[in-house]
Amino acid sequence: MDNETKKQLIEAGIDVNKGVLRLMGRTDKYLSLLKKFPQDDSFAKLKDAFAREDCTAAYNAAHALKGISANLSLELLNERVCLQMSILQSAYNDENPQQKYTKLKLAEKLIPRVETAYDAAVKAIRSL
Amino acid sequence: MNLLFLTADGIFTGLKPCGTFWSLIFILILLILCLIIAKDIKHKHTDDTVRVLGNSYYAIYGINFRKHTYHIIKGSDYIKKRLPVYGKYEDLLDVMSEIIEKNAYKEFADNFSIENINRLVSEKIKDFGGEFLRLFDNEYKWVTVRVLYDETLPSDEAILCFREVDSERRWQLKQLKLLKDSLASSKRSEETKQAFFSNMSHELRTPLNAIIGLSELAKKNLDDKERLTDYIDKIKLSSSQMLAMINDILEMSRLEQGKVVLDNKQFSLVKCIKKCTDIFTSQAELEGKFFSVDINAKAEYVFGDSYRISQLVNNLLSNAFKFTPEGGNIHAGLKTWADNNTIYCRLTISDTGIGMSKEFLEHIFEPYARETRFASRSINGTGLGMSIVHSLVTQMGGQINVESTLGKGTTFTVTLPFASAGEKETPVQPVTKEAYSLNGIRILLAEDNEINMEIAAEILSEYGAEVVQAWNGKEAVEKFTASPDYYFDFILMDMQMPVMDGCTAAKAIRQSGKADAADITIIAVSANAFSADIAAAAGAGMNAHISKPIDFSELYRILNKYAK
Repeated sequence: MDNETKKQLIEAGIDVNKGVLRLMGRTDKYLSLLKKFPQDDSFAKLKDAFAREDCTAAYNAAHALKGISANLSLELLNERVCLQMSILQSAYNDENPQQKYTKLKLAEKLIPRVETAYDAAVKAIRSL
Repeated sequence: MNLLFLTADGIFTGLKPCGTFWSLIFILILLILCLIIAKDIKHKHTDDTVRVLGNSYYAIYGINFRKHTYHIIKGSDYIKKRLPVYGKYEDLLDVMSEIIEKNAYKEFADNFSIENINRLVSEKIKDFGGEFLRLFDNEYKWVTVRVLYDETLPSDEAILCFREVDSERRWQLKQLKLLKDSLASSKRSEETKQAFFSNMSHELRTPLNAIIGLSELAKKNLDDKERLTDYIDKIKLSSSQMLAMINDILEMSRLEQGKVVLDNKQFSLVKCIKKCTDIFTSQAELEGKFFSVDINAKAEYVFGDSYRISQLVNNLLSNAFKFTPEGGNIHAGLKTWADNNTIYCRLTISDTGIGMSKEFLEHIFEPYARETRFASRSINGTGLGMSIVHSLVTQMGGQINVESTLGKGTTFTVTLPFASAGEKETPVQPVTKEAYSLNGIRILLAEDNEINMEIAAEILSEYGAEVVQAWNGKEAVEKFTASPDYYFDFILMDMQMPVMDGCTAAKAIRQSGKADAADITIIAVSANAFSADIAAAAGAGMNAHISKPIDFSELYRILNKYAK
């Protein structure tokens, strides 16, 4: 991977070094997995779940996105999803319908922040 | 002259004075000698007694209770200066009154009066005594006194002796005090526990009564769908309140029993606090409150339990938000500084909320403490939040202070010490293949996401493991049951999967009736490392839990631990 590509990925909040290390130094394997990320539909599912005000679906989608972003070292995205996830977790466990709804709406407010990180990562990956 | 003697056979014999006179004198001298020797032996016994006593007693007095006199066998420095070797017992008692502690003297004088010594002797009480405080120079020390009497002593004499027992007596008193204190403290803790149980039962009864009452109402209104829905919603709400209380009670009891083990790892205090406060920034926006965060960190990386720190900050901030009305201010401040290898963190959470009274402040960290005057407001909570915070801070070796003014607001200050973890995050060490090997290990990998599956499979295969993939829980159960016994060494189970989740799948595997159903090691894999997830995994019969992203060295450690 040339320095320019690496720089581009790092600027998009991707910790390339960590990702490559996780795959035992196999840069090619890491890049091929990265390239699969734009096809992953977790983020689309997350937005859709918020639109439908479906707390369980939002929780599941955020959970999946949290796992993938962590595995691929999409650090910026992961950090933002984690924050959103903590609110969704609380909403998911809340039995009080009114509080559940308030928390879900609170988590939805963080979507623009998550989306910025998601778009940046996808854009950098697509240019590979 | 004839002298009459009574002989053994009872006949008086008249002896002639001449030849027998000298024999008589001789016998007399012999008798006197015998008496002297006998007295000497007796004296020797007395001397022996005195010598033995002298080793342990600093003062020994012979008391003649017929003549009311004393004689000094071994005198204390004070008495020797004040009194002659022989004298009246009354004088001895007088001088003693100057050095025996005032409160004890009267009792001493009564118990060791000539009359009482007489009585002791006549009743054949051979050892009598007690303890009191006596002045030595300028210091009172504990002394034991004894009246000794036995056959080796002259019949009208007893011995009064004194021994210093200050250190042993003080030790005994200390032990006694310790015993009394521990009794008192165990009584107090018993009382606290009683109060805790009684409060807890009371707190639980409120939602439970609501559940019972609402269920009754629901039963009576089975045909009215609208009312029924309302009752059921309320029952759900009360049940969830109860669940939250029980969870907090369990957490509290784990903390109290010292069962919460801190998971100390390197982490950034700044990042941890930022993560906690970020959530509340959104909440402030939503509730129309002003929330500010001020971070002034001279040191950042520490060894500590970031999860517990977050729990602590969340509890304090939740309270601040709960008791601050719309338009109010909440402020969170973090200050850190280093002192040698210790990093101190001062966390301040202040608000302009309703505040607390002085009386309540004293009880704030007690379980179920609540300012009753605010009972009319509907404050949600379990009443254990502050107790949990207090226990956590104590366990981490820190301090928590609270200042509050009714109507003006509250400030909590938490100071915690941490071991320094250097100035930077420790770089991730590359995992080398040489160090680990999974050759010959067969793993069933259950994961629904393509990318996650590929990454995990890639890593495991790279280390020599044979990986069989399952795309959801149901598939995992099917592959496990269809395989020969002991075919798989491990199952890596994602917690959250479509069709069948990880917990359900793990339970099904454990109940499958296969020979290895109970033995196979199942490791839960989840993006969440919340204690609830870990508990759920354990509840479903899984052996361990690891979080995503999969840290291979951690996974290897767990695999190694369970390898047969």
